[in-house]
Amino acid sequence: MRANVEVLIVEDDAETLEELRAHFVRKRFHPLATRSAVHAVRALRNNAESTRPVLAVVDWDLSKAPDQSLSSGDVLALLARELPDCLTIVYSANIDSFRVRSEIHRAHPRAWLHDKRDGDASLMERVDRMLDQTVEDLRVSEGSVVIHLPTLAEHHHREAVRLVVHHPEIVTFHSDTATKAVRRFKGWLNQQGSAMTVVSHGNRKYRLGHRP
Amino acid sequence: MVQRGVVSVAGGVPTIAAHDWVLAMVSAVGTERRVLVVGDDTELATALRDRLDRAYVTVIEVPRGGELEAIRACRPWPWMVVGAGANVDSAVAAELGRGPTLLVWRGSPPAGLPAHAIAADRFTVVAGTVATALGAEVAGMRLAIGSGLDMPDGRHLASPCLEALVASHPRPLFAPSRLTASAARALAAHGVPLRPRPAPGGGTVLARAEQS
Repeated sequence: MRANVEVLIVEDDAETLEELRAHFVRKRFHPLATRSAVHAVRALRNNAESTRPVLAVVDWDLSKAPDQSLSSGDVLALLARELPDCLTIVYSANIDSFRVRSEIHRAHPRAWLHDKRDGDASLMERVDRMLDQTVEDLRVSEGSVVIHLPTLAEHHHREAVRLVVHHPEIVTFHSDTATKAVRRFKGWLNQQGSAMTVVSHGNRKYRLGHRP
Repeated sequence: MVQRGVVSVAGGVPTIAAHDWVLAMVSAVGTERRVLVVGDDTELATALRDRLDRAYVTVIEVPRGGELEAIRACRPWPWMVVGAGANVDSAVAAELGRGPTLLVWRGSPPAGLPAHAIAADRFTVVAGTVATALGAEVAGMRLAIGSGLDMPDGRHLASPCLEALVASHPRPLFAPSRLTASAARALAAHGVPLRPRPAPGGGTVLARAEQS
């Protein structure tokens, strides 16, 4: 299994897509870059067992996509339904419009919104802030490593990354492999004497919380 | 849920034939704390979402006609329904009586809703009522991130009925007795000196446990 964390990018403009893809490659993420909603859905469907992106960056307006038979709303609906723990950023030049926000959130009630008029650099900064999370004495680095800052000890697993980037929210893990990884991460946190621990909410739901 | 032949998007939008997958029509089933927004105010959900802490609650805009499906997708029942408009379908009202769901209505609540529905004349009152419920603290019990309660003994408790009673406190809430009995056992197990009691005007409230 790849340890590097996947990021789904849906952007109909080829140049912007390449910029975003290159940005995530530099940060050691594994980008799944697509120019249309159809390709995005296909990428998620064809690799459903192995692909659980930690982040999706979706352009709301895909009018330049080579295939128009699905919309960004379809991708968002799929993400909301089947990958609810994937942080999802939707960007649009009309993000201030109630109608657009309503349509986005009908498809994905927990999507984060970003204003396209702020430029690509602003989007990448926003993404970096979300992914390079620092939580107390833990920091995510290069998309695949959680670092315990006082000891500089490293824990390499994408499920650990997922827990840190979602802090303080609850994450549902969907396989025994993933829950085992979470328990190993908890053991590692104990070993390092971290201020944080993994809190179980039952039914494969966990969150990163402060050690009591 | 995946079938061949039809594609649809979330929120009850009609299906689109074309591809060999289905983004199923049914709302994603969820156990996290949800506020369902129903009725004729298209901006209510978007405005409410901006005001609430997403770590604690997910706001879901329910399209007209999708109310029953959205309510049934909440396990075991929605934490809260926020509505607007003079009418509500009788089947929807009946479904809302199945569990102790908090109800806030902009304007006068329509006939048929459980009597604990709160009337709010302005959006700020709606938002304030929801925020107050989310931030409720009763005898050291607080709503936890995601779902359930943080108990005064430091443990997490998954008890949707008690969660509703805490969020509603001190207002009474209509809840089936089998659910309040379970909440009473949970309170006793955590050493909290409160029990669900019938309120003088109907419904159930949390009141000091009688000394044995």
